[in-house]
Amino acid sequence: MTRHLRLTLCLLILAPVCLLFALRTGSVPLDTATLWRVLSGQEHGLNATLILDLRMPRALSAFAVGGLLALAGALLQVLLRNPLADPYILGVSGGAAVGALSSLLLGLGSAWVSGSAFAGSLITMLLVFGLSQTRGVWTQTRLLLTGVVVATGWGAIISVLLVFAPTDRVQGMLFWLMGDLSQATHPGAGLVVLAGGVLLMLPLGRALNLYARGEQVAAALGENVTFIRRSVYVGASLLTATAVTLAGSVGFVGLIVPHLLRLLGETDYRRLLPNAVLLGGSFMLLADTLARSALAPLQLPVGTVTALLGTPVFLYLLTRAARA
Amino acid sequence: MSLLATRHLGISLGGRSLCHDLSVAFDAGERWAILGANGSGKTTLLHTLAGLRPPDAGQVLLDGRDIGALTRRHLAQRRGVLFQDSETPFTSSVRDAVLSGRHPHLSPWQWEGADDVQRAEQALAEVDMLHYADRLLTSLSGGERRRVEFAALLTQDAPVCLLDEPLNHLDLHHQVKILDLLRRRSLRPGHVNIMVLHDVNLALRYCDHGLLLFDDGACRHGSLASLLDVATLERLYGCRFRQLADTDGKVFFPA
Repeated sequence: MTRHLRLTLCLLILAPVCLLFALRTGSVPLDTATLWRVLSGQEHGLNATLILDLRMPRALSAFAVGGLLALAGALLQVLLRNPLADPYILGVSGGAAVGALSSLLLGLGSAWVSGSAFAGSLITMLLVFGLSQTRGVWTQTRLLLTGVVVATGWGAIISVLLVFAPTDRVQGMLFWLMGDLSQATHPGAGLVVLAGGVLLMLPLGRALNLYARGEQVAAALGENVTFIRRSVYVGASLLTATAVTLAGSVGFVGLIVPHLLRLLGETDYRRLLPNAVLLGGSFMLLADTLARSALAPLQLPVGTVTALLGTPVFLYLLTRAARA
Repeated sequence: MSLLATRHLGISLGGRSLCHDLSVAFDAGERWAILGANGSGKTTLLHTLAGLRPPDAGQVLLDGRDIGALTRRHLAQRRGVLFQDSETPFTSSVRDAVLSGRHPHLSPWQWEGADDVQRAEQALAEVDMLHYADRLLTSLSGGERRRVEFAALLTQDAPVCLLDEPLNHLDLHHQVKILDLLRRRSLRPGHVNIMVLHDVNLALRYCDHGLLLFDDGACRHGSLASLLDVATLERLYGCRFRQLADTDGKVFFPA
């Protein structure tokens, strides 16, 4: 069995294991037998409500968000040819945050928060793309600089909103900013976008391998680089917008998951993209389960857990790779 | 019919004309050297010949057809390009990098097969890099990476090869080895090499045709041996030259 196949198999096993962990863990711990009875429809009542109405939607949302961010991160890193790129680098999450926080500040309902977050990220996507290719000139540096500057601008507006927010609303706003899944009760849209994203981006896999070697190389080997660039930009932006709308700006997943896979020896985008979805989703499931159970009844924003978990794991793999 | 030809080609960059009304035919079996000072437009000309940049005037013809009218995939099967610089922010194994040369020969969903791997490994063996096939690109020296780029070009197996300073970073042994390899390739039926070079003497030894780009936008082409003399080189590079008579022919060096 090749090393690549082994890695994918491990990730395919990891995802359901993390899901099981998420469904069993909580204020009422459940064993696997109970879980099975509920899932197969033999048991109704409190346990069924707990699993089917509370834990399952949240777990699936967590998986979707993790998968979306990891996929978007992998795509943006190759598009910008920058290992430091994460899904938020071009300001998509900043735009979403301004939308969401304004709604929270005005005390609007969760549908308004999601809607304005999504609108904010789409506006940013169009703004950055439009500004970065005036007069037809396009370089990665130009896109990166435009995105970073727009993100900084949104950051300033976010600070202003936080300063003027009444004290009782600040905590909710901070939770949104750090990333939080407690409001994520409808995973459907996220999962559909994730599946669509994987299906649309996979055919680009081999072309992305060339693109990672350089835009000129991809062009010389017969690829339409303008098409790749636009598809990857729009794809990654929509994936990020969906993730941010579901869970706020959860950090770290989109940055480190693609790098973890590279450190584990996966550099081929045809495998890297689906593996990133599996690893990102599993990682997020684990982080969210810990976020709601580790200090229960206190709930942590999941974004802090991803960073606390991810930092040591990533640094360990990085030093191990440096020694090898 | 020429493999590659230009018809009244004009190229300008930033308002400066690099060449105009250039009509030249690159025929099978020929080895061309493009010579000129820094900034004279060698790379821009090479990219235009490769169909990566539209000409500002005139036409580039590949197999007698306008290069802009060919599909990208067909073009990539017919002509290969070795770029002046390579960038590798994300690493991959040496074997995978070389295998990417097979891209234009694979259908969209096809994965590289045993035959492609064998071609890649053979190309790596030809540039003395097979023992590094499993190494990461980022762990290689500049010259070794250059040889990997070259192996990828060999794996692409395109009859028309355009090379931009192929000897960059290479030690003297591998400079000669790669030029020998390129000469052998050009002798296969229907193959032509066009390369940008800075070493006039290696150009004389390994190329039979030359295209000289002068700073004032003038352009001369023809048999390399008859093109090159002290006066022409002094005009081309803007410095004094001396010529030595060697048993194998002419040798030039800047005075």
